[in-house]
Order: sequence, then C-alpha cells, then structure tokens
Amino acid sequence: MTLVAPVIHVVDDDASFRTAIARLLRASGYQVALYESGDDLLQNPSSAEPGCILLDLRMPGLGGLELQDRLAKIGHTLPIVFLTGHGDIPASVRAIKGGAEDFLAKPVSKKTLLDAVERALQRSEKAREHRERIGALRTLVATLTPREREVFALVVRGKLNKQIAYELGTSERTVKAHRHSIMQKLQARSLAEAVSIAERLGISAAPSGSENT
Amino acid sequence: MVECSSKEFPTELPGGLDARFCEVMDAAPVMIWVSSQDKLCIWFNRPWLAFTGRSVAQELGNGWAEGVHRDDFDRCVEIYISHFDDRKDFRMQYRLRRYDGAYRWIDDTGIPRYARDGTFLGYVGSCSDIHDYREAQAELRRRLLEIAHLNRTADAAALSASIAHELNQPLAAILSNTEAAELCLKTDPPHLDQVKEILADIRRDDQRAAEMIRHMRGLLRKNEFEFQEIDLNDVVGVVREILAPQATDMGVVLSADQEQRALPVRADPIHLQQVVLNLALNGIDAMLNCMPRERRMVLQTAMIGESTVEVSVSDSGIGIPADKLDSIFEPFFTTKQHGTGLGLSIAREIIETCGGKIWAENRLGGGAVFRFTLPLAHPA
Repeated sequence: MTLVAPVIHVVDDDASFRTAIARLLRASGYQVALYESGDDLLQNPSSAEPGCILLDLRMPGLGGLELQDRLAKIGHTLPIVFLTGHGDIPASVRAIKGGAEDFLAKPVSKKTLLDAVERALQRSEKAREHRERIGALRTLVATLTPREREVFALVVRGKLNKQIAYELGTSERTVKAHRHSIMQKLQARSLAEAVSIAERLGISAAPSGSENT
Repeated sequence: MVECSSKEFPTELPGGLDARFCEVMDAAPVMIWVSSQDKLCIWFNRPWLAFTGRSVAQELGNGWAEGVHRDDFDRCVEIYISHFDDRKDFRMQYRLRRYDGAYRWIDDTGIPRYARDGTFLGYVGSCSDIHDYREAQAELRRRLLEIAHLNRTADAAALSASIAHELNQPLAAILSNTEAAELCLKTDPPHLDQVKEILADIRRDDQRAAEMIRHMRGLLRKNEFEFQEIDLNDVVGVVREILAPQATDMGVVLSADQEQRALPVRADPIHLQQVVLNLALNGIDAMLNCMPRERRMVLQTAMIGESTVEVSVSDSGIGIPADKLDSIFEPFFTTKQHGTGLGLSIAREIIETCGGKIWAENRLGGGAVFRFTLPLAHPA
C-alpha cells in the first residue's frame, strides 16, 4: 500500500444506495468520494491519488458505459468496477472490453464488493508503480545527447560498433566511447538491460537516425 | 296466441277510451298500458298481454304489478306514484315476467293523458323489451374491461425489466446498510447512533420497494370501473414513478410540471393511470424511432378555466402525420411493429367514460403532445 490512502469514487444516481455503500466502505476503512452522476465525476477529476471507481451502469443522462469512454479519452487511469442490477451480457462485455476491472450485480455482498475493490486497488497501485518506473527510465534517457540517442537506437537493434560507425559516418572508436557513456547514464550493466529499457520505452520499435539496414 | 284483447270488449271501453285508439294501439309494436285518475290500470294492448301471457282481467287494477321482479317492485311503484301525483312524465327500467316465466328488462315510458277540456284522465305508458340490448351492453362493458386489463398487463410487461432493476436499488441499499450496521456494532464501543440512522434508512428503502410493488400490482389487478374522487396530480405522480426506470433505460429525460393545487376528478384511479401510461409509453416509442437527439418527455397537469383540468404528455419524437391525428384513436390503428393498436382507443374509451375529451397535437418545436381534459369534481 502507498502512503496516501486510496479513495473509492462511487458514481450512482440513487442517493439511498450511495449513502449505504459509502457507510459500508468507510466502516471497512476506505476513503470514499460520492458523485450523483457521471458529469459530477467529470467535473471533479482527481486521478492523482490511488483509488478506483465504483460505477453504476444505468443512470439517467450520462450512463456508465459512456462515462467509461469519456474517462478513457481524457486519460483517466483509475480502474473501474461496474455495479448493475441488469444481468446484461452485451453491456458487461462492452464494459470489460473497455477495460473495466470487474462487473458486479446489485445487490452486492460485502465480501464480493471488498474483494473486487481490493483487486482494483492493487491494479491501480501496480499501474502507478509501472508509470513511475517508466517515468524514471524516461528521465534517464533524457540525459543522453542527441548523438548518444542515435547510437543507443542502433545498439539496441543489435548493430555492431563497426556497422554503427559506418552508418553514422564516424569512427569505431568514437562509437565505443558513446556506448560506454550511454551504459553509464542508463545505469545498465549489460546490453540486455539496455535493450529492455529501450523496449519498455518503445525506442527499438521506432529508431531515430538513418534507416539503412 | 293469447286471446282477450280490447277488441273483444269494444263496447265496454273504460275511462273514456276511444275504440279507434285501442285498435291502433293493438297494432303497435310496443306494449301499452293505460291507467285512470285513481292510478289503477284500465287497459292493456295486445302485445302487452301477449308478452305476459295473462288475461286482461288478471292485469287490470294492480294485477300487472304481480309480474314485476320483486327486486324492482318497490322502486317501480315509487317512481309511478310520485310522478303520477305530480303529473310528470317518467321513464323507468324494470324486469317483467314473460309468458314463459323468464324475467326480461323492460323500458317503460309513462305520460299523463288529458281530455279535450283539459281534465286529467290518468296515464298512458309504452314499453319495449330491452333485455337483449342490456345484455349486449353489459357484455360490451365486460369485454372493454377485459381488453383494458390485457392492455395494462402488456404495459406492465413492457415495464417489468426496468421495474425489476429499479427494485434492486432499495434492495442493494438495504444489504449494504445491513452489513455496514454489523461493522458498526463490532467496534468498541459500538456506533449505536449510526446504527439507528441505518435502521431508519433500511425502513425507508423497504417502504420504497413495497410502494413500487403495490403500483405494479394495481396495474395487474382486474378491476371494475369504480368512480371515485381522486387527485389527478396523484395519478400523474404514480405514473411518473412507474415510468421513471423505463425512461432511464431508454435514455429519456422524464420531467413533470404539475399544478400546485389538488385536482379532484371523478374517475377510476387505475384506469386513469392506464391512460397516462399508454400515452407516455407511446411517446417513448415515438422517440426511439427517431434519430438519437435529445429525448425529453414532460407530464403536465393544468387548470383550464374554472371547472376543467387538463393532462398533457409531450415528447420530442417524430410527431404524428397531420392526416393521422384523428385516426390514431381508432382501434387497431398502429404504426408500431409490436403494438396492438388498442392503447389509444382504450385511453379514449376511459376518458370519455369519465366525461372528458382526448386528442393529439404536433408541437411547434417537433414531437407530439397528447392531451385530455376531465371535469373537476368541485369547480372553483
């Protein structure tokens, strides 16, 4: 768990249900934020802290699935757990395809609800960690000079120093120096590690520099 | 054939009756009786005697009253005597025993008769056998109630998925509240204040669910048409509650604009709900058939003058072709694939039974509006 307590965002048009589920979640130790509509949530975005969204599928105005689409478009990353009274298969398929974490039927028992919330929070946490790692790697890559980036792109594609020197129109000795500097800046101890960093950042797929094979 | 008609006693005509008059009356297709100033009957035409299968002697005086059904007798005599004393025309319906012992409904019209000099002579009455007509009317009414019930059942079926879902809301709230209460009781000291609050909420949600079920059962029940004084605002309120889940499912924004004061009308509450529901479901269907623009439905009640109240159901659908505005109320008229075409004709039947009018219009901004008026039970 992170230091910041996760927040469960409940979006449901039924005031009575909102109150009830909020009581249950608070009594179970979670922080809760309530929204009476999808618009209400969109107007108060708060994806900074970890958490998840408990979303009613069926609401007047902006429905659950539409809200899911909108959130995806604006890059909202909190996992969504759908709650619904319908055992509607097409809707659940659409929700899951749209990246929903879970699809629960109302009325929902405490255990089912808390298990789903816990899974969603873990995923939220993992996603956050992943984002942080990627962010750290980006910071490292950003320290490379333009020339070093060119060399890096060719190195991770498995080119030999000689080939790189030829492609960049420089000497093999210079390439070797660049290579050494790159490995240090990226804190990579082996070529495999450097390749892995490039893969995670999507660098090997779209190499900069010349495209001669 | 029954004997004994006035023809056999042409010379003994009582009460100043004219022989030619009696001859004509014997040939009439209705049953005729004549009484004198003392209220006693003095003559019956041939069709009357043929109907009762009795002799003139048996019918004379108060003899005819022996054939009146005992349940109708007192009312019959009361109407006859009271009108007779005031010399007023009367019309009454009662069951009279036929020659074969069967009681048949008779429509009897009586008027005072006078001599040329204006002297009151007694009454003359003509009666026709309306038994078959009354039976047909009763049958028609039974059929109508039957069809209205089928229509309500169809409405209820259309709403059932949404209502079932809507019932899940209070049930879900009750479950979560219960589990929250259990957690509150486990703390040390237990959060009794919160448990108290939770219990009140559980009770409210339970009542909410029960109310929803009660409304649905009202729709599904087979009822007679019972006139009672009801507030039209209540009727619209119930329909709004029944309809709201369906509207949500169909992406329709449902709103109500109701007259503040009570609107008492004399009608049958369930049948009136049915009318508003039929109009609203029609409107929702009309909106589903058109492009997905904003779907809005407004249920409105308003006073028209001092003694009439109007309910309108407006939608933002495709509207109604101008040449169809009248025919949509005809039975079996439908533009829907799955409609019976009975909804609007039933609505008209019910509204007209309550003394009101129903019609449809197209709105200027697009969409249709259905309106009906009813007389206010207590005009302002």
